[in-house]
Amino acid sequence: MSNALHWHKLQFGLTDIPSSHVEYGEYVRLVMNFPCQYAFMQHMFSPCDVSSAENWKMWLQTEESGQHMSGSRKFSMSVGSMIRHRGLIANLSLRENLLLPFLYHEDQQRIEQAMDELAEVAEVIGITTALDEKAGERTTVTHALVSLGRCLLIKPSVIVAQEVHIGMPPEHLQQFTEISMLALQRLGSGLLYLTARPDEGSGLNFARTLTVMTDYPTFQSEKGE
Amino acid sequence: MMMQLHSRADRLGSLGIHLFSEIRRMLQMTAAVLAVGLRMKWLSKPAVTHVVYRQIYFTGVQGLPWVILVAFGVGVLAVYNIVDFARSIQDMSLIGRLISNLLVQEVAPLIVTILLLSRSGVAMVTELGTMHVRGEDLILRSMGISVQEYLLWPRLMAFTLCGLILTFLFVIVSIWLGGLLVSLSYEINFIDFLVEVKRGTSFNEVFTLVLKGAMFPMLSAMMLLNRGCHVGREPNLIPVHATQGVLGALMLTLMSDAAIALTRALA
Repeated sequence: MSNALHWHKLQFGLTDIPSSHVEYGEYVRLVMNFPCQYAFMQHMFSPCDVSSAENWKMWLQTEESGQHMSGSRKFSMSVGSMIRHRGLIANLSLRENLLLPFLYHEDQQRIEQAMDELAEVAEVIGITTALDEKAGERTTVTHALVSLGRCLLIKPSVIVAQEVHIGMPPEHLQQFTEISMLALQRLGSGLLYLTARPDEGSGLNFARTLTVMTDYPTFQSEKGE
Repeated sequence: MMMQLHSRADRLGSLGIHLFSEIRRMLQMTAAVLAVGLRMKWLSKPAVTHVVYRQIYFTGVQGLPWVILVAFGVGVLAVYNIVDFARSIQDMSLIGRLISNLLVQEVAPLIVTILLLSRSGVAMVTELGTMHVRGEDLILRSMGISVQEYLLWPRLMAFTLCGLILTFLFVIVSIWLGGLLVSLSYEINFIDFLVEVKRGTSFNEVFTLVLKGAMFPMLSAMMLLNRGCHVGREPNLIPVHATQGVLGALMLTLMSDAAIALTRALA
């Protein structure tokens, strides 16, 4: 599979986020400050036609069905997301949180398939007993695990993660790192990791690191760690 | 003197611009929500229909006992005073007209809207505001879920639909229970009372009831959704926006009521 996530150069004031891409199975790290990460995600998750930056585009290039622009149903079901402490809708149960994209986008057959896979995914991420509990207020690790669970169900070509390893106590961090490594291995997806620090603590082996420095030119190192 | 005048003109101008931009923002948002909702694609999305059912249950079903209770109280008071007045001037034909003009056309839509605002309105702004503070709008967008379709349309629809149904129930309960109770203690037969009410009610009155019963809750919901969506990331601002939303909705309702009265007077 040679699916890849592409985006054009994006400018925020004097800061430029360079155009680049993430191939299927490739891990890319994008280092920039939090406001830039947030603005990048805002653009990324808005449909291309309503994006505030004119002519900015992000798309998923697939072998089977061509280009899927950001904001489209196909794009949303092929690009997973894991945002720090933003993995749960509080007034839904954990089960509904995991199934939400399917309940919104997919037909009955695909929903039933996701429901069948749910038990196994819940076991992998360790929330089997809490599936029917209301999400409410949860720890950072639960947000991260549910986002990961959703990715396991969607089986995306590329996952966009934003500082999911930051802000966890050491024991949770270790648990999450182990589970996420296993999940990424199982999925084989590409990964775009947005972070403010190169030592983000994910333990992942990045193929490329793009560093966006505010008011300064962008640096790119071909080899990661 | 001139400086003071300029300063006042400046304040007035800023207020006008702010008001205009608020109204424009609200109308744009409502147009977007209606465009998504009336496309009817949400009917095939279990995630959205689930929210619709929950909103209808919360706004309509859970609000029903309160509406019945208030309708009973208002009905007894209104019917008692109207019958008493009609008897005092010895013109029982006034009963139907007064009930139709006061209770059906004015009081029922207004009281139901106030009840909805005080019960569900505050909850709506608070819930949407909290979701924004928690960044749940970003989570939804990251899954390709339209905030207008998933969050706003179910609330707008439930508020409008339940408002209309509850207004009808309010009218029925207040007239029937009010009339029944007054007929027990007064020299008026319940059947005669109903005949008078029927005689005083025409298609125009029912049309006005439907118009106000749907329009007041809809305008209120528009205002509440607009406030709820602009809380930003500050949790401290949620109560401020909730108060502004409820008061703004009340003002909008009263202004539209006045506009309807003016239009009818001019027509």
